[in-house]
Amino acid sequence: MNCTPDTLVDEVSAALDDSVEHLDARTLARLSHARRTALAQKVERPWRAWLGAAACASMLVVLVWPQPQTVSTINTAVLESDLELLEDLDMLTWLSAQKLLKDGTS
Amino acid sequence: MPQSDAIKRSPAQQAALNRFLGEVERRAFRMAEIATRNPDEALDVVQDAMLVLVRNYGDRSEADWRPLFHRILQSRINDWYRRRAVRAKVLVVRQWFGGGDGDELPDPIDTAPAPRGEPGEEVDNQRSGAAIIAALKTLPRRQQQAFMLRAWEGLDVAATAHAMGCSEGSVKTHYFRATRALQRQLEVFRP
Repeated sequence: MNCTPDTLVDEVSAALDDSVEHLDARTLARLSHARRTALAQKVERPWRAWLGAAACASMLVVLVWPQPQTVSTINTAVLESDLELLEDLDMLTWLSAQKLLKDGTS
Repeated sequence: MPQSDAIKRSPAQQAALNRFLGEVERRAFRMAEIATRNPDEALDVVQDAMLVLVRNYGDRSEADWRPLFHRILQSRINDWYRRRAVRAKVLVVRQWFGGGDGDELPDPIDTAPAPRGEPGEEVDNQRSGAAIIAALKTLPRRQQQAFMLRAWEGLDVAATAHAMGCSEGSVKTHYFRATRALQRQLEVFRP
């Protein structure tokens, strides 16, 4: 008997059809259980979680984000602190000079 | 933690899904069982495919379910092969470094093909169809997939290529080789 592709396909299909018709009861029960599980599952909507997380993150950013400072404000603050430091240095220099003078005279 | 909602479908849609899965589950199991050669693994593969179809595509039209289900099923079978290959590599590495005692490797006697028995018995098996399924199990994975999707499920070349995630040319090649291999195997015992 010559096995042409058509007869081969028919034969294999018949064998496979026959095999699924005679599945054991345990396998059928497990397949049925798998189907029920699939149909009863809860759908996850991760986009909702992402949406919530994005909203929280946005609020946090708005609250924590430092207020914008202008260049002049920053410069003023730096200059003021520098002047205070220079004044402190002048004071210390003057005090040292006074001390030296006092030591020299005595 | 992702929020979950019960799937809200009409009873008719739920019944249609149930009917569809009931129609395809046995054949899907047989395909997975031939691929994995293990009924328990095959059931896991089929259940995974059902879960994904219902969760992600249950709202699609009924006409879409069949090609989608086959695509998911074949993808799950491919995943199973990948996981098995990784496990095998890990076991080899563990053995190489003396971490395993070799008990976890499959016993070659268990994994060997079933004995052929007497020639007369073989012809009987062939007629009963068991030999045909045994021959299918010997095919490489992609040839198995192409042959069963084309010949048994009746998908055309384009639908088979979609299910397998490959080109139509690859499907034709796999199908041709599968047919030749099966012809060779099954003709040996033909009267």
